[in-house]
Amino acid sequence: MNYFTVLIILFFCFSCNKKPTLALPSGTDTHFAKVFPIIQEKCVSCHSEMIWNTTNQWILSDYIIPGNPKQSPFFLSLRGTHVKGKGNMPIDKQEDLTAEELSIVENWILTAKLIKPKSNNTASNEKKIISDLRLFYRCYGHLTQARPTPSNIFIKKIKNGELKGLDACNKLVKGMKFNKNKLDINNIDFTTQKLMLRNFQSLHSSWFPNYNFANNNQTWGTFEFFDPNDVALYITRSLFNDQVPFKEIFSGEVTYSAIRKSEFKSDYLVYRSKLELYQPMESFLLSLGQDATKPMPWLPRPKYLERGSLVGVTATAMNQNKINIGFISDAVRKPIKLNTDFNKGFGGGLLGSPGYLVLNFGNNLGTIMEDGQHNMRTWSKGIFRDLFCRDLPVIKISDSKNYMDEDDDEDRDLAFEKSEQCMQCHVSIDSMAISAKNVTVLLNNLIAAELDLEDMDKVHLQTMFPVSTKNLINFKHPNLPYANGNEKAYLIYRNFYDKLIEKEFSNIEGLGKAMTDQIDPYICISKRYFEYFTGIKINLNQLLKRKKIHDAGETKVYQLLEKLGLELKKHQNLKLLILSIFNTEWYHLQDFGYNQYRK
Amino acid sequence: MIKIIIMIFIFSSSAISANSLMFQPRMGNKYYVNSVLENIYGPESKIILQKALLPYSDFFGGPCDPYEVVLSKKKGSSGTLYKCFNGMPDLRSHMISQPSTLRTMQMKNLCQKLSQDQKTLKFSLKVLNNVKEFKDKIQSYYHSFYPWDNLSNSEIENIIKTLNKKYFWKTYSELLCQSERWQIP
Amino acid sequence: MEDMPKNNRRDFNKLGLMLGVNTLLDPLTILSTAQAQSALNNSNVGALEMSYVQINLYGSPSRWYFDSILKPKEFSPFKKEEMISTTYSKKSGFQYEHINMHGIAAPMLWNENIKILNQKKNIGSLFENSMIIRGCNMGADGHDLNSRKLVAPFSGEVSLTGQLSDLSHLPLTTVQLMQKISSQASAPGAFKSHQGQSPVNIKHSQDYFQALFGSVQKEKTQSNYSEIIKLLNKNSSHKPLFQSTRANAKDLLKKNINLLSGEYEELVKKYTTIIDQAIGTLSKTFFMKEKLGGIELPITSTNANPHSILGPQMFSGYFAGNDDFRSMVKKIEFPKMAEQFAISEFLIKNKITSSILMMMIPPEHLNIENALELDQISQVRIKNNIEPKLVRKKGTKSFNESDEEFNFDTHQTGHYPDFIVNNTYFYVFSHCLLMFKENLRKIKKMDKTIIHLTTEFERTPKIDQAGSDHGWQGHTSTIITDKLSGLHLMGNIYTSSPYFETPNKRVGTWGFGAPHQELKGRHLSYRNIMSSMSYLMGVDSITSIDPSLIYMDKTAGLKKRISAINIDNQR
Repeated sequence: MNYFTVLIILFFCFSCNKKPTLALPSGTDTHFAKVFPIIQEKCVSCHSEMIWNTTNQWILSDYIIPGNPKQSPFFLSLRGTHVKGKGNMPIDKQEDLTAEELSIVENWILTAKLIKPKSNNTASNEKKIISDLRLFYRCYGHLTQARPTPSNIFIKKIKNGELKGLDACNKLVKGMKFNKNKLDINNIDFTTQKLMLRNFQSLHSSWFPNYNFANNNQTWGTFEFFDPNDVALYITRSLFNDQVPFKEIFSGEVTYSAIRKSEFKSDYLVYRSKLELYQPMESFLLSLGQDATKPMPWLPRPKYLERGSLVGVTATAMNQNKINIGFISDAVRKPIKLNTDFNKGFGGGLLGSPGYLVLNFGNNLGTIMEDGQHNMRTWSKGIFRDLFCRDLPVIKISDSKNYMDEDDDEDRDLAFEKSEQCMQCHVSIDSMAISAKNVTVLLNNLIAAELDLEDMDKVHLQTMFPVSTKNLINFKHPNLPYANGNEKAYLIYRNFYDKLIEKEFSNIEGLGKAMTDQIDPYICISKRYFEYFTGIKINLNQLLKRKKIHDAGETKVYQLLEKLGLELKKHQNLKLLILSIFNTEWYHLQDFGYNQYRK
Repeated sequence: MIKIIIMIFIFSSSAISANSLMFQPRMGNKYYVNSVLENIYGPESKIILQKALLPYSDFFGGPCDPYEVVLSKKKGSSGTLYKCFNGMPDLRSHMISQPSTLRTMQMKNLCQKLSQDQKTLKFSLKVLNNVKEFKDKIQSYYHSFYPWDNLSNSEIENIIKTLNKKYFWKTYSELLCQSERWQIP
Repeated sequence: MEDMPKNNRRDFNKLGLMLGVNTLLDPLTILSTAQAQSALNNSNVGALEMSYVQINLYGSPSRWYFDSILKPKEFSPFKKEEMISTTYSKKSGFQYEHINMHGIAAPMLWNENIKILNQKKNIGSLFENSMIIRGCNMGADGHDLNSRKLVAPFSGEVSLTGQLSDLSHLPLTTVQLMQKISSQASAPGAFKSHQGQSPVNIKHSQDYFQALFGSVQKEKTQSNYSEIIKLLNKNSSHKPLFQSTRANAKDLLKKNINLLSGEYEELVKKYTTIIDQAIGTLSKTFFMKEKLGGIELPITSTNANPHSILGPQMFSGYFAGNDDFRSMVKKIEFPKMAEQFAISEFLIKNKITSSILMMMIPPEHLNIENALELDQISQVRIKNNIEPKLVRKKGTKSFNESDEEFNFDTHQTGHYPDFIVNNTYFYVFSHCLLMFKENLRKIKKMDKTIIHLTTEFERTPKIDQAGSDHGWQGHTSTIITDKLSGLHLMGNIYTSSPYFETPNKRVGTWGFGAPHQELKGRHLSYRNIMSSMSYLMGVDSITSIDPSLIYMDKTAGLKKRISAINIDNQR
């Protein structure tokens, strides 16, 4: 059978299917061509990822190991093979692969090889380097979201040949600095610095996708206590303060607030209008968007978070806002006595900041973590996503086997713990989540209590806050051994170099330390800055997966990320990272390598 | 037969799992566009920009910051540039954006308004005050949008030839505004 | 062609599609589909052929009248709950009656006949090719939280609408029609795409056609001016991309704009007519057959709380006193319903949009008579040996309202208004939906369209029938498409709430999700529903770890992965 015929037959076969499947590329080896329909028929309906239509994708996914069926997780999972594996797939025994089909799969794996794509260099090799003047306009725009006026001193000097574009950019970057936690208002470049501060705080915030405190019961009051972007303040502070090394963002219980400047005080809270007037005349305006008609002020004025242009970042004072009561929901109004400081973090810098914990709690209010169904998984998944730039899973499927209990523990009845595929994600997130096992989130109506409101509004103006179960008074923990136990948490993942990392720690502070010892958080931050300055979006998961078959562009990017990450780990200075990016060839190309490296 | 050959041709180039890099034009967000246009068209352009640019952080990017906005019943407002025009999700509008039909449509709309308004157009033409020659005027006006390079002689002549003499500056302004290259910082 | 950047090719093809070139084997399509592989999503080669329409009733009205199937079979275990009723008669009161249709015990509303396009069809025919998935536990309470989940199951991550947007080759990939309130915090605000795409959001107060096509209608730019723009873009590598987006915008806006406008207006007229027809035939429906009289004061009551007797008459926090509750809907209006269906049909028919989010607006102009506030009612005892009565307080007056808005979130809508208004709403809504479906069928689009009718969750009636609260442990999604044949009901529910988390612990069967053996003892997650829809659309699921609830078997055809049984857990 030649390739043509195979292709035509496959094409017509697939055109009959209700679900459009991929056709096989030309040049597909006969072994895979035989395996493909078997997998489509018997596996894809449950395992939608197995739609892959090339052997390469199977190899890169680690589901098969070329030449080695006995070690290939996919083969080990099939029922009826001669190898000792789970042997429990397909789920429906009536769908079992026949002996002939199993043999086809085995032969495929035995003969499988990773094929590097041919370099498809239709692109032009001509490199258009931009002028000094253009470079300055570029970096100014990136740093400030604005254009310099023609009278800008740097522009004059560049035009006169007194200054190089890159040097002007460097000076701008070096101008990003605080004088005792805030910008120096007397500085001649105060306006530009304010723009840069605002811009970078915005950029850092964009790296944390969860922002909405209005979760259960529209807890809008939370916005008056926590700025959803206060996680980003840790990073902004490090950028603007040379005395704050980058790794400090992952350490300590101190939380940070924005220092803002405005000519007058705000009369409004950050909340959505109800479009109705209540008796007595209370209505509140949103600063947040549409359908506002006539604004009406709402006293008391905002007092917990400042309003105005961002001019600095300061440590939030502790022992100012202590809370003694919490609730699980507005419906269940049984008060829980507690003793907690609203503004104190849980260790690990931004990892344990109240805002980050609340936004990534992922459980119902008042949920107590009991090492099973309920855990801080959303939080640990968020850390991999936000600070490692990685999507789950972050280990290979063959790794997960090592973390699964051979014996069936009768006390544990969690379905996912018995599945390698499930554990491929759970190993990493569950073992990290142990470090936050004592965190829960409750409600309080600090804002609503100060106002004379109808019941419905009290519901909508609750404030969420995280609290340690150890700070709950007279509280009966459902799993005290777990809560008080010394079970260690672990950082388990495959790093930038595909090395399996397994680091032990006990609490969130320990997690911060474990992270800063690795290269990956540094590479993640470098990647994010690089993406921002050049517009080149990097899928880090894919980049690492495809390491063996990188094209020219990917090879360069990989090497660059490694270089930037290692440098940042050494000097701990975000300004130097930005300057390094400005120094790359990419930044000086007219369209950032669009023609050179785009596939 | 031809279709099958074409199919083979296509699939052979996409045989391997997809590339991890995505190269996209790095367009400036609404704050950048706002800054450039306000500089060119003057303080009177604020109202137009407020209506036809700032609410569209979906198309242009540019996250808002509600804590920047200060509203006082007696004393007025400030920081409204950073208002969340479309509510909460504007907090996570993208920092940079890509060309799209929607962005292009909105820029057309915006540029039309800016160049048709007498006040804003007049302000933008102030850069020509001390320029005598017509060709130099075209170059100077070009520099408002593209301060880092120049139009060649043939390009200037092409512009003169193509644009209607009657509404020359209005049209030229609108086209410059619509051109995409300056929108990439 | 090979040198064109991939976005440009996609835009080029959008133009092609606009001009009506759309065969699967067309070389242009194949060229663009293969090369349109997103770097981040390597499994979807085909261009998106399917359209996705989510009809979202934000606020979550009671759906047991319409598509929340609480009793799959005649003999299914079921615990009666007074407020969960599908019929009313003076003789038997409120009952949960059903009619056998499409293999299940269906709500009575399905039996109502509608005249559509010179054909008589019953409302049940809406579901002849559908999947109704019930008993889905949403995990937590909250309107906005759950509304966003309906589109983006993982908060902060890519949404279904965003994913489809990335795969789409059409000019305006996603259009979102907003409701009056709470728009951006709910489903529309959860839009997120990998490639930074944006949806077009249209406010309820805008004219839909104008909002989409009105902005550059007056354009007088000459064609040679685009050459000047090209010149100004000089030697930018992105020139071809800029050119194509501009060409796209121009063609989208200028091409046959008058014709298209006329077509849209025609559609609005058609839907308005069908809505008027529905209102005109209201009196003949089963739920309007008999007078539903309110209780009048004074009335004997040993309980001083008016809720105990007047609960079923609660509306918006006061007690409606209509002599006949059918009069509530005598002037009912359905804001924007005709326009929403019209624009959706228009966008799909003209291949302009791949996914549409319709946030439905509750009906208005309800008529309330002889209403009393809670504090206008008191209990009096005239003489010692005569039972106390509830009376209107002296000096107070009852009031009338003829312009009341209905709130889908019926916490304070008692049984009588709930029964009349929701049945009326779904009756009229069915007219539009049926016409929408039949029109798409006529142009052979119904097998390429997924209509997803959904709300945040089900509702749990209050004990005093003065309203209903959030039943977030149960959610129903109905998917209508000719890609399916027959009605596929899935999802187990308990006959009563298994634990006393809510105040409504003693209510009967309302749809509390129960676990499934097939899902290893877990209850349904919304992510399963998401995967099922992705399966139907032929795209990778964004929640692939939770399997689709349906799959194709080579011999038996479409198969369901889970059952739809009522688990009797009554104590």
